[in-house]
Amino acid sequence: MARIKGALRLSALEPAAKALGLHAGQALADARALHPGLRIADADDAADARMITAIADWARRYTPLAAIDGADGVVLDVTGCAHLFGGEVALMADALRRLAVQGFSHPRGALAGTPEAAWALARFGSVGGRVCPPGGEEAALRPLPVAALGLPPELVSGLKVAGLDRIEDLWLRPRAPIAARFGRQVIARLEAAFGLTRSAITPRLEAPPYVTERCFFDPILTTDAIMRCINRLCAEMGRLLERHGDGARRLEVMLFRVDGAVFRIKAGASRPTRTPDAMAALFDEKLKLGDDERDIAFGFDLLRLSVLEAVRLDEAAPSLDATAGAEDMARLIDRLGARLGEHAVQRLQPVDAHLPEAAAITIPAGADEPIRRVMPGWNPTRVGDEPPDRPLLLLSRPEAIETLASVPDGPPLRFRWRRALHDVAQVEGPERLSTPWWTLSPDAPPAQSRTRDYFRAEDRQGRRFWLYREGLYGQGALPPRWFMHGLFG
Amino acid sequence: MVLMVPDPFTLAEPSVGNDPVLPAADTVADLQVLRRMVAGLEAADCLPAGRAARFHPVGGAELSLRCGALHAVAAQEAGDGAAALAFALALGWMASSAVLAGARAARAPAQARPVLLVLEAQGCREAGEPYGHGLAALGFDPGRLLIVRAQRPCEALWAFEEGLRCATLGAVVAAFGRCPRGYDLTASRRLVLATRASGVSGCLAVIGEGGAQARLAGAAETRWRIAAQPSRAGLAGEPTGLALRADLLRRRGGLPCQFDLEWNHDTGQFIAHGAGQAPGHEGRPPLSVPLAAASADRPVEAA
Amino acid sequence: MAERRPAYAELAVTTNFSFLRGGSHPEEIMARAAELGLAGIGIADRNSLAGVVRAHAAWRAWQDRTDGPSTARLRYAPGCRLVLCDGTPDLIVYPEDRAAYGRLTRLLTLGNAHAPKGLCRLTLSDVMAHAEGLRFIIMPASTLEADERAEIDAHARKVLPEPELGRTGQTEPPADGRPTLADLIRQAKGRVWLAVTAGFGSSPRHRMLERRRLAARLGLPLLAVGDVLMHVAGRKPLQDVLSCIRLGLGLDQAGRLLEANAERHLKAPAEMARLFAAAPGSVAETQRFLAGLGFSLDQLSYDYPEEVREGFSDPQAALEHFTLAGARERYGEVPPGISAILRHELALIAGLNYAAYFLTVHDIVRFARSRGILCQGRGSAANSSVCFCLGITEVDPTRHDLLFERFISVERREPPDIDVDFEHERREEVMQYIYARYGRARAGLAASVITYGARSAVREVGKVFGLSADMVGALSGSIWGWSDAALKAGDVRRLGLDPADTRIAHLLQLCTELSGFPRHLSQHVGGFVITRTRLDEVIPIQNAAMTGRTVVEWDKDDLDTLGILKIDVLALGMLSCLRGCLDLHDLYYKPANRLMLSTIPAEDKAVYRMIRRADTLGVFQIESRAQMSMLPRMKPATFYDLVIEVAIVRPGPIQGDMVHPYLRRRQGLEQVSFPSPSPEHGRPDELERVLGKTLGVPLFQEQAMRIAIVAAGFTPGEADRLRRAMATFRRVGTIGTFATKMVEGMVRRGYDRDFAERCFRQIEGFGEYGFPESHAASFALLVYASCWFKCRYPDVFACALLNAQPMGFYAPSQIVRDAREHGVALRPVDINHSCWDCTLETPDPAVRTVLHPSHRDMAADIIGTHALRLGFRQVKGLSREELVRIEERRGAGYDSVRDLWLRTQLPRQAMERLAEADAFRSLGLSRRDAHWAVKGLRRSGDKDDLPLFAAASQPSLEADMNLPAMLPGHEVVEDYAHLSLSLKAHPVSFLRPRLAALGVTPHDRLLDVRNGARVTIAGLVLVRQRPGTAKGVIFMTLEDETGIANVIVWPSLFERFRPVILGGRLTAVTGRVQREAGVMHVVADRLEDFSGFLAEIAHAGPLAGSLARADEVKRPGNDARGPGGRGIGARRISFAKTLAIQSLLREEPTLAADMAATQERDQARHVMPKGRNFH
Repeated sequence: MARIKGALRLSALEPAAKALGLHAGQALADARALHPGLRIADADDAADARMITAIADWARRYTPLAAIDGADGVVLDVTGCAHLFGGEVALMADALRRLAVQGFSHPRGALAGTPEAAWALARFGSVGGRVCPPGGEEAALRPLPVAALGLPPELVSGLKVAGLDRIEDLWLRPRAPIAARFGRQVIARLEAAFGLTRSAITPRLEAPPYVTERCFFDPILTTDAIMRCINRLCAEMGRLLERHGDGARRLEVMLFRVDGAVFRIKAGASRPTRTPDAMAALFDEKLKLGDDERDIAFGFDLLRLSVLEAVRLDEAAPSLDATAGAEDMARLIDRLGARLGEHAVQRLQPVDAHLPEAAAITIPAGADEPIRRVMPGWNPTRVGDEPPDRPLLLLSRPEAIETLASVPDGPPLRFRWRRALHDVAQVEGPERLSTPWWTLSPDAPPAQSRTRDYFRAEDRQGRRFWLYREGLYGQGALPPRWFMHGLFG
Repeated sequence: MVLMVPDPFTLAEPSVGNDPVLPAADTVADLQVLRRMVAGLEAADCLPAGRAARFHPVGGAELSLRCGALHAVAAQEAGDGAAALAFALALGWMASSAVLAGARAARAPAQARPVLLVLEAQGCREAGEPYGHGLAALGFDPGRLLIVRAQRPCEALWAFEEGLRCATLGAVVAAFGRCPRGYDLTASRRLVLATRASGVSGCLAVIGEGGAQARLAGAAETRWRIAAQPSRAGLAGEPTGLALRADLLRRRGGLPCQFDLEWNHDTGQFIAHGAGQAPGHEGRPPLSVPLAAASADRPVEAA
Repeated sequence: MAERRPAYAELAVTTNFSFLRGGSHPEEIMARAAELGLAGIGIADRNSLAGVVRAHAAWRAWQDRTDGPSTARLRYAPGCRLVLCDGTPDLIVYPEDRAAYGRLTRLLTLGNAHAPKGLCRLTLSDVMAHAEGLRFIIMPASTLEADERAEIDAHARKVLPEPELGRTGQTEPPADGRPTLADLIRQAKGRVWLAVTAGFGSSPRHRMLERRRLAARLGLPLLAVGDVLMHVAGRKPLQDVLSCIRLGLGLDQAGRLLEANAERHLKAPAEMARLFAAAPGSVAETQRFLAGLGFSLDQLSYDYPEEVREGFSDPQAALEHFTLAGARERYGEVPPGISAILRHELALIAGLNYAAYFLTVHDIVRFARSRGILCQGRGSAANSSVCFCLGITEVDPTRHDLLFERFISVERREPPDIDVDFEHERREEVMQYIYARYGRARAGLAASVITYGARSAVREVGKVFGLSADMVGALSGSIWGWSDAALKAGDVRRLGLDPADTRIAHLLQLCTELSGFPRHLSQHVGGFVITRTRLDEVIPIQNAAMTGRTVVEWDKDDLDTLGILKIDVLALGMLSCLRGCLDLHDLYYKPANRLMLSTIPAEDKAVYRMIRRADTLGVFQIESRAQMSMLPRMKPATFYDLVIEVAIVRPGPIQGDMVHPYLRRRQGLEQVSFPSPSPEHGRPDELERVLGKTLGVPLFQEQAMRIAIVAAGFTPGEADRLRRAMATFRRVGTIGTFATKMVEGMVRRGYDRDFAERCFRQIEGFGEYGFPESHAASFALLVYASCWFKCRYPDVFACALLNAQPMGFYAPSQIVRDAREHGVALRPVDINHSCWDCTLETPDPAVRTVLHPSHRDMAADIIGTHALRLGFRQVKGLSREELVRIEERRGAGYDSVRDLWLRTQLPRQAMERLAEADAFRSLGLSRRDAHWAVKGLRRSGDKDDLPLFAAASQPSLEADMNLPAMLPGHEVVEDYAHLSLSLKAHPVSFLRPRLAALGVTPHDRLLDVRNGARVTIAGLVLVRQRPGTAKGVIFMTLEDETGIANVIVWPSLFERFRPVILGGRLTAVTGRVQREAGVMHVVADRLEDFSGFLAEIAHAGPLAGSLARADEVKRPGNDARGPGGRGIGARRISFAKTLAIQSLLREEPTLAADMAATQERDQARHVMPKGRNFH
C-alpha cells in the first residue's frame, strides 16, 4: 500500500488478494470497503530497491554486466558468458532454478537478441524462462500488446485509441505517420526490439579492473575455510597485480551464499599493496568481526575477490590528509571494542523527551545513524545564566530516600540517602514532569499520581543532589514517595 | 552554548525609579563582557600552546598546567565523587581546548578534539552514569565525549593507556572507584611517557569510597584532593553551579597549595570561589524564599 | 472565613478557539471558573476573538441559572493574546471601553490582512498605534513558532512594501528608533502589567525572583497568571493530542514540544495565592486589573445601516411605501384582511426598529431581479406578508395560515433571519454587489466553525497514536456516513485491534473527546453581516480562502447571541435550472407572455398525476429514492400536499416516527384523532389547533415547538432555548434537562408518555435538519415549478437540468435517459452543431417521438417537441473559455479537422478530447479516424502554421493507415469513458444474450412479474444509498437498456455480499419482487458481480449473439470471480478479434491466460463510471 496520486492505494498484492478481485492502483478505502478484513502493509520502496539491488548483485555471478531494470527487474548482458554455464538455455534454467530456491515463487525471465525484446518477453511472454532463438524475435514479439515495448502509459493508451493494440499492428504499418503522431520514441523502441538498432545496458557497478574467483560444488561452511580461500585468492591476485605493475588501493570480497544472499566486504589499504599477506590481513579482522551478522547458514558457493581501485605501485605515496584523524579515531574505537566488547565504547545522544532517563541514551560509538529522534541540542531547558539544571551523574535507577518535606509540593528539608543524613541548605524547585500518559492505562490512577517534582538540593557540605517526589499530596490513595536521581558536580 | 535572547526591554532608559530592595543586576551584560574577553584572547592566540589551565590559588600566584601531562585526582570523601569527576573532566576539557588553541596557531581548520572518558564500571556503578544534559550544562559538549566502560580495573588502565597514545584525542579521563591495583610507579611512568609522546593529557580520578585513602603514588605531574563546597546562593537562595575545594597535594617542582574554585561553564575556566557573583549582588542579604509550612498532621519521615 | 479568601481572576486563558492549542471549550472554562469561585475570567485567544462570544453566552447562561454555585462574583472580560512577529513577548490585552475594543478589532483586522489565512502579522508598532484604552499584560516570552514566522514572512514579502518588511525577523534589539516595550510602557502608563507564572520549570524560584526584579526595574505591577490551556488537568491528554495534530507529529516523536506537565489548568484562588507567595500582591493585582475594565460584549448593540432611501424621511416610511406598492402588485386591489396583516407586521417591525434590515434585503433582491437572477426567500421569512409583498418570498402566508410571530416576536428578542436563495451560478454577482454597496469595511461574511466529526477525529487521533495510515483509514471507514456515532469497541475488535490495549483505549476515549472540537474557521455559505459603522470595529475581519471575500471571526450562533443581524445569501442549483427552463421556454416556444416563476400555471392536474407516479427524476427535493417511494402513497393532489411531502421525509419526522401515522391517516386507514390533556389541565382541543392541518401528526418544526409550549407548559422563551439547545447540544450538553422537562411536563398534564417521548425525539431530529412550515412552503413552490416543466416540457427541463449540473442526485446519463423515455429526441455532441451548453433544436418531423411504456399516460400532457442537442460541457476535460470559440467562429460550419483547428486555434489537447468524444461525425469521421487526424495535426508550436508544413501534413499525402474499425460495443465504452453516457446503445444491451441465457429478466419485464415472485435482474449500478434513517438498509438502483430497477438489500445480507454491493459496477441481483402502492423493489437475497462482463463489451460486435458462441478459452484455475461467481465467470468469451491471434492462442494457451488476466481487469476498471454513493 502506498500513497499514489494523493490517495492511499494498493501497490502490490499477494495471489490470494488478487483472487478476491483487488488490483494494484485501487484506492485503499475502496478495497477496505469491499474486504474489511484485508491485511495491509505499507509499501517499502527502499526495501524493494534493496531487494532488486541484491538480486542484481547476485546475478553478477553470471556476468559483471548486470543492471537494475526499472523497479522490478534485472537485466544481464550475457554475451560471451553463456558458454561458461552450458549455453543460454542452461544459463536461464540455472538462474530461474536458483531464484526459485531463494523463494521467488514465479520468476520470469527471457533471453533474446536485444534487451528490449528480452524485456518484453520477460514481462508479457509466458511464465518461466524463455530463450528466444537468434532471429526469432519477430515471431515472438508480434502478438504481444504494445505495452510490451515499454512505452509510457499515455502513449500506450493513445495507440489503443487508434486501434493499434499489438506490436504487429505497428510492425506491419507504415511508420512515418505513427512517428508523426506518437513521436520517434515508439518507432525507436520498436526497431530496437526487433534488433534493427543496437542498445547497451548500463551495469549497476563498473566492472572491476581485476577479478579472481573460486567456485565450489560443495558450499564452504566455516570462517576458516573462507579465510583460506581468501588467502588463495589474494595470492592469485598478487601475481595478477604484479604482472601489470599495479597495487590495490581498494579491495572487495564478494561472498555468494547458496540461498542468493550476497555479502560484500570492502577493505581499503592505507597504501597501495600487492603483497598477498597484506591484502589478506585487511579482510582477516573484518571477517572475524562480522561473524554473527554474516550467518553462514547453508554456506557459500562462490567467492570473488575484486580490486576496485588500482594504482601504479610506484606512483603511490603515503597519504596524510584531513581524514587521518578520523581514521585514527576509528582505529582506536576498533581496538577498544575488540578487547572490551563493541558495546563498551559509547557515545551519548540526546533524545527529545521530558523524562530525564529517556532524554539521553548511549549508542555504540561506531553507529553512524541516530537511533531515535534526536533532540535539537543538549540541555536546552536552561536559560540565560541559570546554573546547571541537570546532574552530571544520573543514577541508573532512582533510589528511594526518606525525606522530610513540606506539603503539598514543598522542597525537601532533610533526607537520608544510603544511610547518610543530609540537611538541605539551599534548594531550587519543583520542576514538574509528567509521565507520558499514553503509556499508562486509562483506568489506572490519574496520571498525576505519577507526576514527578524534581528539586536541586545542596546540603551543608556543599554536595548537590537531584531528587524528586513522585505523586502529589492529596492526589491518589498512596502517599507520594521520594527518590534520589542524580548528583551534580 | 547559552542562547542569547534579545532583551526586549532595551534597558537604555528605564523611565521608572529603581526599587531599592531589588537593584538591577546586569548578569547578561557581565557575561557579554566575559565572552568578549575570551574571544579577544583567542583571537590574539595569547593562550600559549601546551598550557592547559591556570589556577589562582587562595592568595598565591598563578598556577599553570601543561598539556600532555598526567594528573591524578581523588575525592576527599565518598560524597565528593561527583565533584572529583567534575574536576577531572574540567581538567580534561581545558586541556583539549588548549590543544585546540595551539592547533589553531599551527594550522587552520582546527576541530574540537574529542575527550575519552574511561569508566571502571564496577567502581563507578554506585556513582551513577554520566548524563549528557548535565555534562552540557557544565559546558562539556557531550558530542565530543567518547565513553569506554571497562569491567575490570586492569582493563580500564589498558584503555586509559590506549587513549593516551591516540594523538587525535584532546584528553583522556579515567574514573575508578578505588585506586587500581595495577597503577604503580612503573605503570604511571609508562602512562607519562605515553602522554609526552602524543601530547594528550591524562587525568586519573578516584571517585569512589577509596578516594581519601588512595595513595596515588606515581609519576603524575600533579596530585589533587577534591571536596565539594557550598555554592554561592542564587537570586532566590537556590544552589548555583559547580563549586569545590581543590588541594594540590603534590606537584612537580612546586609546593602544595589549596584553591577554592568555582567553575564558569561559559568560559570553560575555573575562577576563584565567589568571583562569579554579579556586581550589585554583594552586600545584599540573600532573598530567602518562604517555604510552605510543614503540615502538622504529617508524620516526620526522616529523622 | 469567606472574607479572607483571596480573590483571583484568571486573565490568561487560551481556549480551543486558538485552534489546536487550547484544550477546552470556552463553555468548559466558564463553568470551571464559576465552580472554583474565581472572581473573574478573561478569554484571550491567539490573535483572535473567535471564542469570546461562546464564553459570553456561557457566562450569561451561568448567570441565569438559579441553582448551583453563586456566580454573582464571576466577572467576564473578553480579550486577546497578541502574538507578535517581531520577537516581542506575547501581550495579553483587554479593552477598557467600547472604543478601545474597536481599536483592538481594527488591530487584529490589520494583522489578518497582512498574513496568510489563519495567521496574523502584528508588530509592536502596530500595537502601539492602537494601544489607547487597552490594558496590557506582558507575558514571559513570545509563543510564535518558527514555521508560523516563516509563513508570515513569506507572505509579507509578497504583500508589503520594502520598508515595512524590516520589522519582522529581527533578533537584535532595535537600534533604528523602532518602538520597544519600554516605549509601550511609557505610552500606556498605568495600563501595563507584568505577568508572572508559577513556573514548574527547571528553575522556578529563580525565575519568579527574576520576574520580580524585572517588574521593579520597569516599575510595573506584577500580575499572577495561570497561562491556562485547559479547564482541568485531566485535559492534558487531549491537549497533547491537539499539539501533535498541529505539529504533524506522533506522540512518541513530539517529545518536549508537548507540555512537560499538566499545570496549565484553572486553579482555585487559594491555590494561586499559595503558588505566588514569592510574588506578593500579584494575585490581588488581578482584581485591580479587572476593576478598570468597563467593556462587555453586550455593548456591541448592533447598529444596522440606515438605508436612507430615495426621498423618504426614515426607513420605516420607506418600508411602508415599498410594502404597499408590492402589495398592490401582488393583489391588485389589496383586500382588507391583507391590509390589516400588513399593518400589524409593520407595527411590530417599527417597534423593534428592524425596518432598515428589511430594506436591505429588499434592495438585494431588487438588484438580483434587475439582473434577471432568480431568487427566493426561504426559511421563516415566508411567514411574513411584508416579505411576500417586498418580493423577498414567493409564498403568500395568508394562504397557508402562516403566522408572522414565528418570524419575529417581541418576546424572543431575536433578530429576524432572512435567507434568500439565488441561482448558484450567479450568486457571486449578488455578493459582489453587497461588497460594492456597503464597502468591505462594512460588509463581511459570517464564519463557520469547522469542527471535528467522528471520522476526522479518528483520522487525526489515529495518526497521532502512530497507527499506520491503513489502520487509520480502516478505523475511520468503519464509521458509516454522517453520523456522530463514536467508534464502537466492536468495530475496533473487528479490525484486529484490542480495545482494552492501553493505547487503543486512550485512542477511543480521545476520539470521543475530540469530536466537536473546533478545527479552523471557514466561511459561512452566505451569511452576510452588514454594519453602519465600520465592521472592523465590531469584529475582526479575515481574508477568506476565496479571493475577493472577507470573513468575520464569528459564526452565526455567535452573531445571534449578540443580536447582530445577518442576511443569508445562498446558492441553489435548482434556481439556475429553473432560470434555464424559463429562458429556453421563451427562446424556443415564443410564448405571448414571457413565463415567470409566479406565472407558471398553478395546480395543473397533469403535474400532480406525474408526481403521483413518482416520475420525478431530476426535480427539486422530491427526487430522492425515499421521496419517490413516498409519493405514490402520499398521492399529492394540491400544493399543500407538496409542502407536507417536502417536510415529511426529513430526519425529524422520521426519528419521531411520525411518517407512518401520517400516511395511515392520509390513506384513511386510521382515525384522525388528537391527543388531549387531562380535563383539569386545559382544553381538550389544544393540540387540534396546533396539529389540525397535518391530521394530528406533528410534521413541522413550529408544531413541535408549539407542543412544548401548549402541552408541556414551556414558556415561548424556553421552547426557543430548547430549539437552540438541539442545534448545539453537543457543545453544551444541556439537552437532558429539557428532555425530562418536556416529557414529564406532558405526562403531568395527562398526555400519553409514548406520545410525549415521540414528540421529543422529533424535536431532537429537528435540531439540525428541521423544516419549518414556511420553509417547506417556499421549497414546495420550486418543487411544483420544476415538476411543471418536467411534465409539460421534458425537452426544456432536461436541457436546463443538464446545463445546471452538477447538482442533485442524478448523473447526466440518467437525465438523458429519462428525457428519452419522455419522448425527447437526443442528439450527440458535434463540432458543427453543439454549443458549450446543451441546446434545443427543431425536431425532425420524420422521427416519431416514442414514449416509454411506463409514461404512456402522459402523452397528452406533454407540450414540448424539441430535440435536445448535447453541449460540449458533457465532454470531460474541456474548458468553457476555449470551447466557446467553436460556437463563435462556426459561421457556415467547419469542413475538416484542420479547418476547425486553424479557425479556432484550439489546443491539441482539446481537439483530442473532441475526437475522443466522437464529435466529428458531421464531417463523416468516425471516432478513430478523427482521433488519427487530430493526432496528425502538426505539432508546431507556431499558430500560423507554415504552408510548407501544412502541405506536408495533409492526410491525403500520408500512406493509408487502414486503421481497424471500432466495434459498436467499443464505441459505447468510449462514449462512457469520455461523455459518461452514450446515445448509441446501452452497454448492457451487448450482454443481453448472455444475460438471457443466465435467466436474467430485463427491467421492463418486471412489470409483468407477479408480486412476491423470485427473479434475477442485472444492470449497471447507478446509485447506492445507505440513508442514516434506514437502519443500515441499502438501496441500490440498477440500470439496463430497458429501464431502471430498485433493489433493497437488508443489513443481514450486507456482510456476506459486501464486495459485490460496494464494488460491483455491473451487478446481478436475485430476489423477490415486492410491489406496494405502485412502488416496486426487488428485495435481494443474493448478489453477483458481473463487472468482468463489461470488459467484453468493447470487443462485442453488432450482433452480440453470434459472438457468444465464439471460441471459448477456458481460463485455467485463477478465476477472478469471488465465491459468489459459481461457475459463471469460469467461462469466458475470447476477446480474440482476428484469426491470426486465435491460432496463436491455440499454440500458446498460457499466453492467452496472461493476456486475459491483465487486459480484462484493466478494461473492466476503466469502462464504466462507478455508481454514485450516498450515505
